[in-house]
Amino acid sequence: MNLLGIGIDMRIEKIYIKNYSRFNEIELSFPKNSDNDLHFIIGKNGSGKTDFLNAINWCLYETEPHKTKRKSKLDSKDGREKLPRINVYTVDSDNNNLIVEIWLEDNNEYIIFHRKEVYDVKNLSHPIEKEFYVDIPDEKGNRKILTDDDANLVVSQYFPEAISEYFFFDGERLDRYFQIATSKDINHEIFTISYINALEQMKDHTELLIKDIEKEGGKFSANIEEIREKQEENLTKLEDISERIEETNEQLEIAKKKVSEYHSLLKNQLDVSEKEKELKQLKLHREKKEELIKEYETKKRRILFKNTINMGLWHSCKHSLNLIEEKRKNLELPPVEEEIIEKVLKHENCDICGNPLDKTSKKRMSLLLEQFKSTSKSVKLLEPMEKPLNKFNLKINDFKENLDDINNLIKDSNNDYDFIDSQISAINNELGGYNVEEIKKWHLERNKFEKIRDQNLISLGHLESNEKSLKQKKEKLEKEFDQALKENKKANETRKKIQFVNKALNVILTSKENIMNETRIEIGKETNKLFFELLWDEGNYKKIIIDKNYNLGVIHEHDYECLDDLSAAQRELLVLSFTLALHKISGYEAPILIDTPVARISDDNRTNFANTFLDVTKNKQIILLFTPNEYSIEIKDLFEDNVSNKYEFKKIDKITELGVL
Amino acid sequence: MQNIECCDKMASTSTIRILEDLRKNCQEDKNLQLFLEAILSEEIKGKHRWREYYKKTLDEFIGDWDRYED
Repeated sequence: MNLLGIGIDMRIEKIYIKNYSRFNEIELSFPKNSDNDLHFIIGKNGSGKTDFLNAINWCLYETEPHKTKRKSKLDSKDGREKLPRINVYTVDSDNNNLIVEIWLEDNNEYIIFHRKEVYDVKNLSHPIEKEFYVDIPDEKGNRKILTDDDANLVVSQYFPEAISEYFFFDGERLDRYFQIATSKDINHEIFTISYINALEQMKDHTELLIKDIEKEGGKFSANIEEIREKQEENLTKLEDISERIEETNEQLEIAKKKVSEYHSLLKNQLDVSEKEKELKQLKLHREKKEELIKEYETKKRRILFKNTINMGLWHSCKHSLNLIEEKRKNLELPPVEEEIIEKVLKHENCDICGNPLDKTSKKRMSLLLEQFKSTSKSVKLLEPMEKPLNKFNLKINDFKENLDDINNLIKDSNNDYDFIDSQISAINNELGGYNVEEIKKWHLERNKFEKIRDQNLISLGHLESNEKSLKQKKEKLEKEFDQALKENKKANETRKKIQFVNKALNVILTSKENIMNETRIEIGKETNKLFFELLWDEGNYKKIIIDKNYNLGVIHEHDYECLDDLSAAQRELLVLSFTLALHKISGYEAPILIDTPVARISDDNRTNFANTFLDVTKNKQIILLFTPNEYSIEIKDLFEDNVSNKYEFKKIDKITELGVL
Repeated sequence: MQNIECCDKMASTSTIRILEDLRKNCQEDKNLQLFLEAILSEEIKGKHRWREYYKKTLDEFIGDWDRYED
């Protein structure tokens, strides 16, 4: 049972394929042999799994959406322009039919979808005969064959093509859902399955009907016609603005998704642009330091050169000053004036105390005079040297200080240089572990889409403001038009018709809004319920939200949006929950067929994710196509007692053979 | 409703819901309700010359003019 009333519970009972692509003739039955309506097909890459998916699509819609990959692969291998749909290795004049049949079980009745092509063996590029029918029971239980539009109508009842990707999809769609799905696509799908399209058509046609009636009204007077023309002109502008708003919203949506996609890619990556910026600055800094060191060394050389002679004389200077110092200590400095002693000896009288010299004093004075005479010569030479020597010594000391200063500067700069160099090495090592070019590209792309997003947000603001003015003008003109009709008695009936259809239009718009909202809320509730039921570790997630554009979001327990924090497995689970909710709410309780469902999920979460299928398949048929690598021992053990049946695709001599496991 | 009942299975399922909502929003205006039901069934069938049908239907169901007098 669904929101809309009645549900369709159906399952695929059998698929018959003859001569499609690499298949010879195979029949796969899918009986429900356990509590879980779960079925496996296991096959290596290239064994025919994708062909199988294409065969189903071809049977129902005559399309092969997954063909490109297969074809391009074979093209490069075989160098063929186009591979015929029929199996070129099995076809011959007695076996030239290509058939795919899907047997569907709906409330114990079988519906058979049958598509056939017949080929001329001499020209396999185009069929010479085509056939499509649906074999269905009528009300009395008798079989009847429907063809053409009637057959297609049955297909659209059971598997609407617009949402075929929600029945038969490869795991990649689950993984890439948030990147490829736009709100326009999803809205379209929801509109299709909920028949909101019918309301949309009613709205469009009713609006056109109003225009037609207004045109009739314009014939009553020139004034009415003038207002009508103004209305029409205003409406054209309004439609144009609405279209531009829609386009801008689409662009905004795409830009937001792209930003989120690159944000997700960059989530666990180093911010290489920032690091490279840092690296560039450090290298510049190092370069400057290097120049500074060179400058200091030049300065040092200049100081040394300038002081070479001083340095050579420094020891002599020092020695001389020491000598002077010593002389001074010995009281040899300043030198005694010999004339004074000679005068005292001559007058035999002391000039200081005025007393006459006795013999002893005279003798001592004579001895002193002799001693002075022997040293005063060198002392007299030393004395005038002291001042220049001191000056020279100061110069030497200045030089030493200057040299120490410059040496310290060189030392500090070298230390700085080494530190910067070590930082550069650390960043280089860090960057070495990443694909820098790719990460830079992602950064650039993210920045680009951020700009596009912001530009679109600004445009949207302007457009919405214009739209508001035009709507106000529309209301004003409608009133004027109504008044003009009212004033013209002949136009009375036209006026009533417009009022009536306008009322109908308002009801249609209200109902459309109601149904859209209710459907979205129900799908949101169901997605939320399923996601948390199936999630193996609830983590820190609080709830799932679906906005009015059907964008899925995950709210963290701290109330922020954290979709980007989900692991690949959790992301796939969210999309699977959304798909199942969509099926349930829309009433299309159809089977789901997924090619390579866990290929993109890390080993840790594969078992967790596989476990969710066990829960889901109690109420719904699921057919999974695994590669042997995906079908690990853990998954095998998990499903061993629950899987209804297992098949194997094996490629033998270019033909896909079916094995039962 | 006859037309709607003849439609395919899913369409009838969905249109029941749509019809219920349209009726609810018509606020017991029988003419409006009948008009909307008629055009809905025509849209579900999908194969029609809508303009002629809408105009014809409008003339058929608009009967109660007094309701729209000022």
